[in-house]
Formats: sequence, structure tokens, C-alpha cells
Amino acid sequence: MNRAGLAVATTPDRGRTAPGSGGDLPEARLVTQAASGNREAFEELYRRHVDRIYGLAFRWVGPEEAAEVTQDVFVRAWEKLGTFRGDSAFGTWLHRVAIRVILGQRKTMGKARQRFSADEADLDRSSAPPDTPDHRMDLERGIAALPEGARRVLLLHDVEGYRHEEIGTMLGISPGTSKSQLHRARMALRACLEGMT
Amino acid sequence: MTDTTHWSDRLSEYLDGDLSPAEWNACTAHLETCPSCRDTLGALAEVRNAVAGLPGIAPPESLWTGIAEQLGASPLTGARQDGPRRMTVSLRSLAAAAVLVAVASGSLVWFALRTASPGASFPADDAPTPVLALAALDASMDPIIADLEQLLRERTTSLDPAVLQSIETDLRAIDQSLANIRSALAEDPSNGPLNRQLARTLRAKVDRLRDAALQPTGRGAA
Repeated sequence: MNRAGLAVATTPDRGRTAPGSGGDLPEARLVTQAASGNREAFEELYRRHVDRIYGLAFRWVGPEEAAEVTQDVFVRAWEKLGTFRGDSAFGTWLHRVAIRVILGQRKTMGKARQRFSADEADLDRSSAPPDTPDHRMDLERGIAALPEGARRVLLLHDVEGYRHEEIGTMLGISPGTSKSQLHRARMALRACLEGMT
Repeated sequence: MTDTTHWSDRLSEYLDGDLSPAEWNACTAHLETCPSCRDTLGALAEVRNAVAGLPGIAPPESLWTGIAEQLGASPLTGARQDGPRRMTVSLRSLAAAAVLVAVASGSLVWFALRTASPGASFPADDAPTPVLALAALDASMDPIIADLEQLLRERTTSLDPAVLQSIETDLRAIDQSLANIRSALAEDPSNGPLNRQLARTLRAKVDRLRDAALQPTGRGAA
């Protein structure tokens, strides 16, 4: 067993919208153009990355608020584009912006998200994204049904790739709590995968 | 608390490489005798891979319209004047990276042998100590890996999106492993298995970046 537990995840069918007029341009050039005020270039960047950002928002805050959060993310990205220095991939930078927007909104929204507990037997099918294939439906519903804290850690760690120390700083919890929340989330999702084989 | 109870709650940490070397060894020993924990570990790996592989979700078509309306009122901050960095990486750099990793792996094989049997010889009589040699090699990889990463950034739009996503996921996992290994080595620099693991993981990163650089444009296998 590899000590680092290195595992390669397959990433099938990452939905992408059709590219616009800048579909063939390298991303670095699009970023430069967009940072100079070119909205067509920014729209192309949007179309290349929106599915992942919207997916993060959908799974984090739910279907009702995902669109609003996604809009806020891209507006914030437009405002801050001049600060992107190319130290990381643009998508990585954009996801960091998304996390900051989501976490910032949760502090100001003042809404209590009512999520189904893991013990709820009657899961709301609408919690899964539209057009989700049946073989993945159980996993999406399982994620939607997780307690909020466990779901946030799962998304930050297993989807976004943050370390527990970083997650702890973001969410105001200890790395140890982050680790136990992640384990709890994964164990709760075990049953969802058994129906997918 | 039984051994199983103790380790069953920490299998995610084991899977992600978040245990200390001593804990990792103890958990590994436990797994060899506990089929229940082995099953759980396998299930956790499946969950992790399935979650990491979740696809993006297409938003409503009207979403961009709402964004575009807001862009007009949103000022740009610090608009950039400089252009993108020139791509300076050539296939020669890729070959140099491969040689460097091969040398690193070779040095670590010698180090592992030396650790196991102190009488093992090494070709160069004036070779630096293994720990220093490894640290030097690790540091010398940084500019090469940086160039390869820049090459990947230059190619992000010419690669198939599914291929690019696979590459980025792999690299995130590799970087996380490297961080864990280096953290553990900081506490135990002469740990043979950890040093070997560092070399293997560095090689994995270079190989992945090199594969990405050599990917054909458009659709292709990851």
C-alpha cells in the first residue's frame, strides 16, 4: 500500500458548453484580454469553467441558490481578474474565488440551510442535479443528504483538493475535526456506491 | 477500544496519507490481519474516487445574461498590461527532467541499500551524503517542474477538457502526497521508505506533466 495513498480519480463527462468565438485561443491569452476589459474573452472563460463552478455551488448551497452564487463568483472574478498572476492554473484561481464567495455569502446571508439529515429515509430527488444519470443519482442524493459540515468538508477535500489545515482555516474548525467530518461523509456515502456497480 | 475500533475511524487518514509514519506502519500491520478494515478501506477509496470524479453541472442558459448585466457596473481591478509568459519549455527540458528523476531514483535505490546493509558500495567515492543528495535533487526539480507546469498552462485550451480534468485531478493528488511526504521527512529525514516514496512521487509528477505536454490536441486518451 502506497503510504501517500496516491489514487488517480477518473473524471468522466465533465460537462462543457460549446466554446464561443474565442474557442481556439489559449487560456492565458483570454485572461489577458479579459483583464483588459474584453467581455467576449471573459464570456469564453465563463463557458469553459461555469459547469464546474455551478456544480460546486449546486452541491454546496443547493439548487435554489446555485445560480445566484455562480453569478456572484463570475462577477467577483471579473472584478479581480487583474490580480491573477498566472501562479496557478486559471481554473484553480477561479475555484478559490468561488470558495471565498460562498463562504463570505454564508456569513452575510443569515439563512439557515435546512438539509436532510443522513437518517432521513425519504430523500428529495430534486436535490440531485437535473439530467443526472441513474447510476450516479444515488451518489448525488447521498451528498445532498449529508449533514452540512460533513458535506462542506467532503467538497473542499475530495472535489476541490484542499488540505485539512486549509479547510480548518476556511471553516473555522480544527484539522482534526475536518478529518473526522470527511471520514463520516465518506462512510455515509458507502451505501450509495453499492447500488452503482 | 479494540484495535479495529481504533483504526476503523482513521482509515480515511490512512487512505489520504495523513498518518504519521509510525501510525501508518501500525495501521498497515493491522490491515494485514483485519478483513473488515480492508473492505472498508477499499470502499472509502471508491467513494473518494467517485466524489473526485463528479462532473460539472450545466447551469441555466440565462445565467450568462445576468452576469453580463452586472459586468458593466463592476470595475476591473489592476488591469494587466503585460502579456502571457512565453513558452520556453522544449522537448529538451522534458528529457532533462526525465534524466534528473532517473538519477534521483538511482541515488535513492543506493541509499535504501545502504540503509539496509551499510556495506553497500556506491560508484562515486566523493558522493554527498544521501540526505543532502536527496535534498539537492528535490530542490533542483523545482525549476523543471515549474517549466512543465507552465507548459501545461499554455496548453489548457488545446487539450480535450476531459483529458485536462484528469491531468489536474492527478496533479492535485500528487501534490498532496508530496506535501505529506516532505512533512514526514522533516521529522525523520533518514527514513528509507519515505525517501523512496518521495522519489517515486516526484517521478510520478514529472511523468504526468510530461504526458500532458505530449498529449495531442483535441480529443485523446488521458
